[in-house]
Amino acid sequence: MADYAQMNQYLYEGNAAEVERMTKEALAEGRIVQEVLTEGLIAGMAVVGEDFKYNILYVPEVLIAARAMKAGMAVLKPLLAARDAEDASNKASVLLMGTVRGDLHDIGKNLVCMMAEGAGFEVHDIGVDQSVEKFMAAADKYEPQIIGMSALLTTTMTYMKTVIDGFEADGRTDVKFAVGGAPISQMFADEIGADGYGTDASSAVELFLKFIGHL
Amino acid sequence: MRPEQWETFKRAARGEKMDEIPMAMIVDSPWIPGYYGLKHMDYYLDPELWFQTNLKLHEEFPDIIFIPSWWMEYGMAAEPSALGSKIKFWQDNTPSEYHTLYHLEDIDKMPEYEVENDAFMAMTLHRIRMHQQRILDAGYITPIVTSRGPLCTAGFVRGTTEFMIDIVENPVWAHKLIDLCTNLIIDWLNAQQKAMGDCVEGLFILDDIVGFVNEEHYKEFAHPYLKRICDAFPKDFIKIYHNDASIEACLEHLPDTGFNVLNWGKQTEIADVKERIGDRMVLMGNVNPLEIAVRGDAEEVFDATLEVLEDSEGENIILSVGGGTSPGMPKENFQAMLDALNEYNESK
Repeated sequence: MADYAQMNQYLYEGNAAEVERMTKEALAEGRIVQEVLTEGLIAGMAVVGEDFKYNILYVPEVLIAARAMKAGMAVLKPLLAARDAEDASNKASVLLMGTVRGDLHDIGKNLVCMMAEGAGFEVHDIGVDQSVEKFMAAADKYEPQIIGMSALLTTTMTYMKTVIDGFEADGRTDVKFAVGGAPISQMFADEIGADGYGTDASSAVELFLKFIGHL
Repeated sequence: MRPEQWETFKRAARGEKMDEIPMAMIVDSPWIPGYYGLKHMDYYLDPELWFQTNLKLHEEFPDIIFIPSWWMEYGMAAEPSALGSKIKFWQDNTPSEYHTLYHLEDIDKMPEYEVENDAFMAMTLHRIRMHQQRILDAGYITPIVTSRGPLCTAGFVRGTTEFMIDIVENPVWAHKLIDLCTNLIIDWLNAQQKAMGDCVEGLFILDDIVGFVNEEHYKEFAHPYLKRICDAFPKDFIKIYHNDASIEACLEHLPDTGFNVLNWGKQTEIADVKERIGDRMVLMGNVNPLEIAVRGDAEEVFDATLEVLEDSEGENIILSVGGGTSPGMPKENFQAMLDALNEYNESK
């Protein structure tokens, strides 16, 4: 019988091999894919997110845990894709993530990507140093409901407004913008017209869930 | 800074009782070009413009001690560039650094660094030598040598995400990389000292990545290396440490590294920091650098400054913002900090 508490614990400890093994075992037992995703992986990652928020876990441990979750997700992904192909109502919400032009910092973005994936989003990470044109091209390709932008530098955060303004000028108002990064604040998010701001990776994922009406 | 400002800073940094609390600000290329309406590329590459801009800055704010004084730098490019990182330059922004150490084991194959001749270290040292006499002739000194710290440099070279995972999964090689970065930093600081001459009596290390790791990892991967840097320089040097990421996991240990002064971020209140480390370090901070110092009006800055000063109880403090000076901080907000400081000093 699938022991989701144990699976959550392995995920918390970053034990990718065990998470992968238990994911496969749960499926072999006949557990439905959504249950394995929600109770085995998302629930474990939620604890990681909470502990990160309260300085119980730090960046290395979160990255390792997120990687373990990815190992489980790799098992589930083909099944989720097949399920979504049959019934589009199941399809995960799409999140497009990138660090803005001029900024090559990726750790915050990577954390958000991993944790958002853990929360059930389909995540497309376009990397660092991304221009408004690149965000637009990726939006055309992936049709995200949410675009998340990250910046670590006070010198590059202003480019977030360039991206938001670019989308607005192009009449693309059907996407929510979320921003985050060390120098970002709610005040800044409001100033540049972003739809929301996450103080850390966990809060960012909570914000995404609010955007899609799951919180 | 002027020689008498350095004397004041030294006394404050050593925790001496001061009649007046001084104000010191970290200013560098994220802030200076924007303040004077210059392109970053011109600021970096036109030596005369760099000199005149720094002269203007020091003349415009005679009551503020700038740390580390006249700072010859190319953003954060110097340290990672000597270890092979790709550096991107922008017309209107500080340069970006991109990691190139894709396989950690390649450290053993890297060409030996030479701080005097490598990349932006060589250019920085050349510029220091070009201008040193002019700076002295203008009545200023450069008493502090500066570098990014070992974890910060390692993160630039390896990629921060990869480096954080290395700490857990590849600790032997992570140590190798941090060891290399530490040696580089010590040599880099020594080379600056040689170029600047006898006036050097302090060092300044900036390392935010230290704030990303837990206490155990701090003790293993950060503390010994920070201490080694401090130990490599005379005991009576003034040693300043900047980390405006989280200091929660490392705060109680930091005084044992040998740093005298801590410049930290907005996340931890000054009263908290004082309670946890007492007078073991002098606190340089911590008015909120962005929400207040850049976006606040003069009245908000004045109030926030007074609050910091009152929470400090007037001891072991050098007034500053919680981190470096952020782009866009206007003159009136510097003045508001000074006004609040003057009022506080008079009432002491």
